[in-house]
Amino acid sequence: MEAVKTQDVGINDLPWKIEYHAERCTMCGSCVASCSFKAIKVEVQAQSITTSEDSQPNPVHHHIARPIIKQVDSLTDFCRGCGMCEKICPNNAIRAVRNPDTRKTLLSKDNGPIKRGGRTNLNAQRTLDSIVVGRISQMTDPSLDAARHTFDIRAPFGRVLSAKELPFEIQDGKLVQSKHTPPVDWIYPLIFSDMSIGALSTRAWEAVAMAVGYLNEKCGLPVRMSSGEGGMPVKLLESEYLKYFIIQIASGHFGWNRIIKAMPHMVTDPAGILIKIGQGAKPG
Amino acid sequence: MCRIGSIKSKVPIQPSTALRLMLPQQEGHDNSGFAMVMQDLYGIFSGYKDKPLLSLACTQRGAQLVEEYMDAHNFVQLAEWIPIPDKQPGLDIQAMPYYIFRNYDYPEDAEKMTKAQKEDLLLDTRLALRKILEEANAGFVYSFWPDVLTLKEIGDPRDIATYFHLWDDNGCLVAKSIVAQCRQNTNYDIVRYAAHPFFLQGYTLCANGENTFYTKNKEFQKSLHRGYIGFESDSQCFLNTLHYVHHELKWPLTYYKHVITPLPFEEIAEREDKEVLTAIRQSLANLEINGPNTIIGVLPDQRMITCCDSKKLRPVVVGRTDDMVAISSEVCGINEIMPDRDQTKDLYPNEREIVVIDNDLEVQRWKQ
Ligand code: SF4
Ligand code: SF4
Repeated sequence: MEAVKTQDVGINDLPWKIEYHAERCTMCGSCVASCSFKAIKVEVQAQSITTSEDSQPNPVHHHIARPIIKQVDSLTDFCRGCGMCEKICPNNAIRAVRNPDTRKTLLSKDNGPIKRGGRTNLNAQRTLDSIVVGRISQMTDPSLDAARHTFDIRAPFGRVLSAKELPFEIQDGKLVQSKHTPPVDWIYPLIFSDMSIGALSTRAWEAVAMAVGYLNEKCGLPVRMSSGEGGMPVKLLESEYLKYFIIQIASGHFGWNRIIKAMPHMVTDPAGILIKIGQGAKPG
Repeated sequence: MCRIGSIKSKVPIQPSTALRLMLPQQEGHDNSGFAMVMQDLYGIFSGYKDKPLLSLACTQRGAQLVEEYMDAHNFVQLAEWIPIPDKQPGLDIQAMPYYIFRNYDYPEDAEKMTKAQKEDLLLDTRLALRKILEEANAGFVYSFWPDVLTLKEIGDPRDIATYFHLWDDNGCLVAKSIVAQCRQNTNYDIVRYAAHPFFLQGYTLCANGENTFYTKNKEFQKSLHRGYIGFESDSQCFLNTLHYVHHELKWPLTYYKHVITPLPFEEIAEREDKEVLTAIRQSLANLEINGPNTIIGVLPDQRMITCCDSKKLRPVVVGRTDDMVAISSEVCGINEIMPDRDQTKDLYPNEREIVVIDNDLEVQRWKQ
């Protein structure tokens, strides 16, 4: 018998598991041929069956070796759930099923050494998958009706004065502003959590900055992005794109010096400054 | 939706005229109550126009509590009218034991007070009375203000009028301005305080419709002024905002419209006063209203106003003769009280204007 080690990879460690019905399979081999990941193979399985066909008990023992389709337990040739085998099988005998208990990320160490604490590596639930986009009109009571109600999701971003502080004077029955008020922009208040751009590689932040620029300039979407703690690469601080970025200054002081040094060279104002007073979670 | 109506007249009128304006408009939940605010009084209160008038519906205990409070605070009772009801059987009315309308003279030390201080004294007195009555479950106080009378009751308006002898036109209650409404609250609990019109420091307001920004209006208003309480109806928010913009901020009335139904951003950007309008929208975003509604209001100087939501989804019409102007949800009510008016002069206000009727009954349309 083959030796088994506790650290061996099992099928249940993989993100997808093959559900296979040997009784329907005609061994045509199409699935194995179609799998571009070599995730399934033909194997001979030993079976030991005792049957009785007479009206009186007359046990007959069969020892058979039969070919079956079997999933490969490998961290390189693992099933990706592409569904090719299911599509190609003429007998509905095979399909891949998502494995909620996968430990693949943990075992393959794709992302460096195994991390402990913080976010669980076992949790298969993905936040973006559970965002439900629905009509606001169906979520209120009484229900709202787009024809009857005005919807505008823009919100003021900046220091908004209270009405009593507004520097207004009345001239000929009209309000006139006598002094400047702090600048305020009306933005779409859709906020993705601040991500530390300072921790990204040069290529990555260039891509992000270009994406934000593209969304603004080509798609007309008023997207702003926060640097997150850690400051920004000098190249970004001194570029045109800065106007789409909100610089975060946080309690850890990371990246402050870079921001201060870049200030004389900035060609535009940032979209905003976000001062983070407290730190929420520090995984690990 | 409920129907609302108001009349401003050069000749003093009696409540039966307001009832005749309202009754033909019955629809749905209408005619489940009657509430009115009368201003610029003649009749039995005509001698005390500058003295605050208390409007109260209470139990005997409530009347006692009010008397004790007013005595303790040196208000001197002047005139009083306690209607003797017609208690004929079969009337649809959930009457309170007592209805008291009483003029007081200001306490002696009020002589040195400024106008604003007096206004605060009257408001604080009403709020204190309301608290006392609420705690003792002994009644309701609707208004305490010179030349203003409020009556609110639950039941069929025809029967309520019979109960108070309003059909008799006996000359007791006469005024040049009446705002009326014939329905109880249907969205929330039936409480007398929830019935329009509402009154606050000289401002009267009733509204036909709903305010889907009720919660954000309410939360914000609670922090603005001690008089913004109750919130038994979403329409009280319209009154609080009117009071805040006009009385507290002292902005010209046109800006009330800019606060409750701001122009779209694109339109603001085109305007000369875009700086001001943007600043208002920013600072008072939480006073914006939403949903279909029409507002009728009366200002402390007795001018009457009406305006609509930003899509003009609720009806309102202004009809006029030489000595009377009526605002009403539906034209059938106006036809009833002014059948001979020139109908081509009827106004159907649009979503971007405030219609103002001044004390000479001049009708002005102010474009937002
Ligand atoms: S689902 Fe795709 S990867 Fe998985 S076994 Fe079938 S063909 Fe191969
Ligand atoms: S394709 Fe279906 S029938 Fe053919 S070998 Fe694979 S599982 Fe069996």
